[in-house]
Amino acid sequence: MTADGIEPEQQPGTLVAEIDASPLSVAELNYRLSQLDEGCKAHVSGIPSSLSGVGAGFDRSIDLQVVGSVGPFAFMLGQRAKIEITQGAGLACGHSFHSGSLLIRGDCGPHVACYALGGLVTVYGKAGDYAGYGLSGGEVVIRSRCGLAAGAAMRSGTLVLGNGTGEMLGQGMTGGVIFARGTVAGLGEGVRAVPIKDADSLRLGLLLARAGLKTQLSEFKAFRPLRPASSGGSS
Amino acid sequence: MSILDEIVLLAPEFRVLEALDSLEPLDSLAPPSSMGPHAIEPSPNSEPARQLPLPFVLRETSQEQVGTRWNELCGLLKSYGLAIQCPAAQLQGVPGNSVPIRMAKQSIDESFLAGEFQSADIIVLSLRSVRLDSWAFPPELGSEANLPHWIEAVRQACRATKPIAIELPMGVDTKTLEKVVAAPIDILSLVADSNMPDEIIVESLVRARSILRSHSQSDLPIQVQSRHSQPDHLIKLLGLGGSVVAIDGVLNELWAESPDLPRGFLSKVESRVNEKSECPIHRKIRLLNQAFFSAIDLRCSSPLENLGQRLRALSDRAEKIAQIPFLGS
Repeated sequence: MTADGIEPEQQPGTLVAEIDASPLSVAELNYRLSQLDEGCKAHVSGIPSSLSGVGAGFDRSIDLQVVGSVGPFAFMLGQRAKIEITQGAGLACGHSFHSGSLLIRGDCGPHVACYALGGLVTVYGKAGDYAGYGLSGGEVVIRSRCGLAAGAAMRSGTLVLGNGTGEMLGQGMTGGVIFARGTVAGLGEGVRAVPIKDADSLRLGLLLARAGLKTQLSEFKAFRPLRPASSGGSS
Repeated sequence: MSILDEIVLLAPEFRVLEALDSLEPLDSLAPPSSMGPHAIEPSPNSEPARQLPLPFVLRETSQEQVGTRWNELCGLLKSYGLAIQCPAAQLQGVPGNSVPIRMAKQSIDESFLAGEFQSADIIVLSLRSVRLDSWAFPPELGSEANLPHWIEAVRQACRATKPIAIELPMGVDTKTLEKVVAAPIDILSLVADSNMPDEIIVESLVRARSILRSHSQSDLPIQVQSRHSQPDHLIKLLGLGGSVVAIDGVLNELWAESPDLPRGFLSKVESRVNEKSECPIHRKIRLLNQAFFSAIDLRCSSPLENLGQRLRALSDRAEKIAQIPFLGS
């Protein structure tokens, strides 16, 4: 609000909301988020890490920055927003993510972006076990190390692992593709290494660019299921 | 302590079973003089919108199975006040104004679909994997301590406007049941596999009701799905602690009468319907409801009074949370 008490006009891309979440319950916080105008920017701070389901079902086309970290199942079923979390995230952040983008600058817990159907989820820090579990069309980029069984049960979509993988990579995957750079500790059952074709290389490069990362594409290897499901995944 | 010892301790539940065993077989049961305040005698030729209370639900019967008469079946469900449950991804195929309550089932190991949560009246979260036959606590949740977080996140995703049920297999261990009961759920759903012995079904249901009592959750409804197809068996499951039972076993017998599903069955149904007869679905559902309310009339002692109260509690809860009007006068 300006000095003369007049509220500034809301312009697309203009910072219009600062939300202090510390006194709010998760229901109150999610309600405040749902009332934000389309096309605007917002900052949220002070979210207690114990809150579950922050931003669950969030469906606004806005730029949202969460200052701090979030608890389990944050932004589950998220759609259309461009979300940035400046620190870490708990269990299953971005579960069933539908569209838009989600950037986690810190470390995240297990099952990040599990069952994600679309959109782009990027983790700049380390990811826990089962990153991208059951991925169903979304795109996930983990810049740093990841834990056990990344890409397990993948059905479609793309998982990019930028600094080595744990054991059981892609265990039980039936579709999609995993691009891994660095040491692969062990492959899961039903997974094979495949040559990276030009189309894959182009797609990987574009995906990394969207995730705000750059590296030598030649350092990556690709992995696909031995026997893809007939309903398939994205190639 | 063995399972048999547990059943002995829960003897009061079996007084209810004995009472139900003493009822006459359905075919010879005289229509009661009063069917209670909550029932309306349905007429095959009546207009839709006759409604009955909600002790029964249709699960696992799909549009694919019924074919082109799906809308007609949904209208029939509405005339008897029956809820329908189907996988969340198929819920759009259930016309919203043709059934009283639509329940969307979401399995733990599938992507959640935002659109279906908006249209469902009740959300059923199944902890059973669609890919694995045997039961194991889902790895997606990490540990049982994360179960309340998951439920809360789903509740937030649908803006806390819909009741949430958790589905478990019959025979699940007590520790898991206790963790689920301690989580913020609205309905407990227990599902029996097709080859599960009756002893396990009975024990699981009675044990679940006992655990609810010990956690001060006596009002929590239990939805039961089993393979039973005889109306009196379903009534017994209500007497043993179920609040709502699935009647798919009853209807599956009707589907099985014709090998040429779905068209063969439906043509047989059409050929039977005339001014003086009912179609098999009408008759079976009418008998179920007659038997149920007759049991309440004949046995006014506390075990069955509690049964009626539990059912009323279910409908009241649905009315408050999902804003679905209580079905019945």
